[in-house]
Amino acid sequence: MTEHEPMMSDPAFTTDHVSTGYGSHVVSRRLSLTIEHGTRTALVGPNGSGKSTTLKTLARLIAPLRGAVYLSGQDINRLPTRQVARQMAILPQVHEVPAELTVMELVEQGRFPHVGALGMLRRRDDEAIQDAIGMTRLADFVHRPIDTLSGGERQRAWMALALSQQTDILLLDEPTTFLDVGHQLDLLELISGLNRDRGVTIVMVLHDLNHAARFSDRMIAMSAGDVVADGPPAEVLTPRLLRDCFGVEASVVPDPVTGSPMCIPHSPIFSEDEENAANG
Amino acid sequence: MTGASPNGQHPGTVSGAGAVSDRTATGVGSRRILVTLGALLLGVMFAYVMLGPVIFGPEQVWKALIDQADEVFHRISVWEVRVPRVLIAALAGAMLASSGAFLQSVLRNPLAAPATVGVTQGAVLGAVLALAISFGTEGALDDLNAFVPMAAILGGLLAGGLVYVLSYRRAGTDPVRLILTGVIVAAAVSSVTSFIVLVSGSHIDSIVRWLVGSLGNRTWEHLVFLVPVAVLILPLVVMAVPLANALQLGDASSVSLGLRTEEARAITLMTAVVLAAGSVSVVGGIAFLGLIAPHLARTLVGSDLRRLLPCSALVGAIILVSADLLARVFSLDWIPFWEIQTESGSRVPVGAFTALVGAPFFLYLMRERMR
Repeated sequence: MTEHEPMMSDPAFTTDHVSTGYGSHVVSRRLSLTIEHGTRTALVGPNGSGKSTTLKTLARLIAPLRGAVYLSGQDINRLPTRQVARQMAILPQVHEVPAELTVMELVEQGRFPHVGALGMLRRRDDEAIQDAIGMTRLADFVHRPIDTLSGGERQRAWMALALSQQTDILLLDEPTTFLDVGHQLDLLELISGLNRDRGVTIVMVLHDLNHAARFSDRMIAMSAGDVVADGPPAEVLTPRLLRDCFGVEASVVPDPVTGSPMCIPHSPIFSEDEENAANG
Repeated sequence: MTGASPNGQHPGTVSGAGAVSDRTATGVGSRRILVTLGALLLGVMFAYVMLGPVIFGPEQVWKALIDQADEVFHRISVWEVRVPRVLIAALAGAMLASSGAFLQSVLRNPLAAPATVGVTQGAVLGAVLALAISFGTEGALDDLNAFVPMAAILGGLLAGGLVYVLSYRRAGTDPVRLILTGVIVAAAVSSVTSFIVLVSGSHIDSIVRWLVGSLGNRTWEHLVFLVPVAVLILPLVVMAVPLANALQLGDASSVSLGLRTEEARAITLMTAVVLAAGSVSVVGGIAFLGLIAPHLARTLVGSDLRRLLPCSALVGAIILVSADLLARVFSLDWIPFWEIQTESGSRVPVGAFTALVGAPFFLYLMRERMR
């Protein structure tokens, strides 16, 4: 199953003392990360910890305030953006859903990085599109407007858009947030399958720690803009991390079926500051 | 393995979803719609040339067109009055509707239209200013001189540019800021127009026809002004279609697809502004057309601009030609106690018609679509 694996010697991502944020609001300082090709990385952390901002910086959705992000060894913000789009696809957290756009019309757009604007003038229906639709089991829905689909089907349609870009790297920002547990697992299985069968590098922000532990090789926990833990799920997901980083008392036990670490949160611990902030 | 199974409904689909039409299912379907609309447009245009104070039969129209009319006034009526006017109506309607289709997609707002981002008001102000200035000069009283369209298109471009610049923050613009700025600029520009209307009291008739939009007295001179605008902007229209298609998926998705988002937005907006300003510069501030035509087109072919744009253009052309046809018919003398003939001989301006019919029709459309 290694035939699709990218032959690049440089890591998928390197960040070199990157500071990120919005305008004058710095979210994260001097972040240095390396993410290897063919791995599954989950970014976790409480709300406002900077995990989404970090993902957006890797995705070039926001430019770093300082430092640089390297995609396979090249500064991502200096590469032609269409060239980047042939290497990396993004599943953003929020999507605009144009009324009456069909699944096929959406998925077709994934060919933009490969054929360019003028190439998109004609209808596209190639192997990559069929493959993306097959992978996401949307064959019966191709002519349905997206706004008539259920939440799970809709998220699969956006996945199909990202897949039809045929990239080696896939970034996902809280892909499971609005899905029920069945559709969450379904999507995470699909993502893991991409990694396992095609060697696609996965970097995702996940809120559910147990899903992060089960569907990643590496967890990066962030708090207040800093990486506080980084390693295999079994090392990162500990009662101490849950207390220090998330402010909950929790037990961590092995999942009886998969063996991955599983946390059971018991009660929140609020520091006095936070309590004041919450009341104010 | 794609495992395409064309047997329609997925077993687990929510009930009711099956009622959704498959109208965008095939290119053939939407192509048939476009061809039908094209034929309809030609039909309405031909009817337009036939009907008027004097009604011509198809044969008479044909003879006049090939310059073999039985009587001189046939040729003049057809060739000098009705043909240029119907061509202007079709082209201006198509341009205004295309502008609306682009704006609704790029601003990701179904209520966006040239008038919500101030372009219509800017162009109208330009025209009104030019009219007010030329009132002082001799023989410049009608809206035939090219000075007025020039000033109008300039006004529209300036208003559009102003909205874009005022919406710009750090990395670029965003749809919400563009719309809010547009609404404010539109209101400000309109108030300036109102002021000019108030102080130039004696020629208010000519100005009002610009405000509501009119095809009266439009002739080859205007078409010669409108056609180059349309031709020059055409390459940008073609370029903007795939860009707007990607932009309507949201900024993050556009970046993922490899668009230079702000550049793409600027190109698309500029195209929409030129289309609208060009249209308004010749026919005035036609109400609702830029809003309704893309809505109607969307119900026919969906939201993919590769089909939505040509469909909007055709629908816009059909609406404006039909509206002016109706406006002319209702202005005829045979209707009792109906004497809305103004001093300059022009009758009910078509803009009054689209405004009158447009508002309730738009409400109806919205209610239908909200269900």
